[in-house]
Amino acid sequence: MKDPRGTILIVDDQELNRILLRGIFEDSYELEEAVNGEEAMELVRKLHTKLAAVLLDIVMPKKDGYQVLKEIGAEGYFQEFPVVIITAENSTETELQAFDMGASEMISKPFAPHVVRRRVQNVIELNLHRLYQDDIIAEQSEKLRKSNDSMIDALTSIIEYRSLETGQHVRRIREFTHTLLERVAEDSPEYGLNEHKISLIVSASSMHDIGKVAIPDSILNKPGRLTQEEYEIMKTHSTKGCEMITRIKDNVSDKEYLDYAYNICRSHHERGDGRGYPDGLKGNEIPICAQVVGIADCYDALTNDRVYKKAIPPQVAQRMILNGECGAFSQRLLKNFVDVGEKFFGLSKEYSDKK
Amino acid sequence: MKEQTIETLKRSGVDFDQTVKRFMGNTDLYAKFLAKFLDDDTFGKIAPAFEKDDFDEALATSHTLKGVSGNLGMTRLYKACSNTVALIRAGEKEKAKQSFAELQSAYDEIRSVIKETTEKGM
Repeated sequence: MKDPRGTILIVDDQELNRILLRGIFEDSYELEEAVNGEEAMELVRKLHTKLAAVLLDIVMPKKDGYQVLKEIGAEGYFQEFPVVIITAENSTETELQAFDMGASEMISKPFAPHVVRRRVQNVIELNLHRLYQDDIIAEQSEKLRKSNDSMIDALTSIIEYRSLETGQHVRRIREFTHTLLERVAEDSPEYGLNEHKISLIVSASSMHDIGKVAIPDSILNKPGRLTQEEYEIMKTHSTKGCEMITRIKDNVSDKEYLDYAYNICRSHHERGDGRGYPDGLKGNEIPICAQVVGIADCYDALTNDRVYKKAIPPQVAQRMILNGECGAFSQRLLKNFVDVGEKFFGLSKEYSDKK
Repeated sequence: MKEQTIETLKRSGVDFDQTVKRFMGNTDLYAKFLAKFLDDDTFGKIAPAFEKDDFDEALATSHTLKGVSGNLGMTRLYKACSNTVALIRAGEKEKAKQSFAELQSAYDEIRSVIKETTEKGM
């Protein structure tokens, strides 16, 4: 790939100096020239995305080099390319001033070509590294996130196969969680749910039942009501799930994400009155992410066929949840759940198993 | 460039070898800029500036000449310009004015050397 920053802008009022600099760089860079500060700024504004560096003289008519440095700084261009001062100056004071104003390097006239070339190239390379580091990091974390996502998809699909649920189940949980969570974020800013956190929680919600892989088929897919003993075993899926997450947690850098996944796995069956499991947490002791996934999970279980029951219409399911038939949720959360009721009904239709 | 020209330039204190390197070994280009130097009016602006006590202008012009003479390898003129620039910077106005004599002399010398060589054909 040809570097998009392949142009050097030479700013000097003396033709001689421009020609000498041109001779040094013309075989490896595109070159542009300006004969004073005013021209220089015009070219900078026009070409800034292409500039590898600006070689700048200090003493010039119509805006001197200091003025150019000042404007480049004020307009934020130092973020993009370095400025190398090439000047007959050799007082420490001017040197300091130029550096203070943002110059990257200072070369005195008369200059030795190979020194100019080397120093300018060093400055350019350093800058490109800095610029592309951000791109590279962004690219890699995107790759990492994608591979995380596909790992999670793989994990959750294991559950789907095991518990004879369709792939739609996890997708619905994500959508319900997302919808309700956005409403909660709006209504309860105290949770500090920004876009980033919401997307992490939504993604982590797919893991809510991951612990079910540790539950025997005979219980997981039992077509009738579970005995008390079987139910106790079934309930262990929440702690089993978070144990699994704890095991990978040390080796995965995305701690924030796994914290959400942990809380969701562990606490999505907790209820506000302390009658949920596994810890009997009450009220706001239950992480908000787990409360939201808890409602989403109940709503989804009610509105779809399960091996042990038939689907219930969305409106009925909503009423049942509001009546506390799936356990106690916070009043505020239930209000939010009603606020987005229409959206839930829509999603039920859109992601129905029967399509 | 002729051997003779090179010898003449060197004898007058021109840092020929370093300067040719600066021109990436292109002696024709160097010769061209030496010839151009004869038409350059920067030097001519320094004396009037001192006469008007316009030290900003005197600084700007002697500074420009410093850069050009330095890059052309004119060691004596470069040193004279540097000295003048430093004196103006230091606020030594009288000494700066007096330093112009050496600047003038260095300029005249290099100018006549270039003239001599260009007339003979470089």
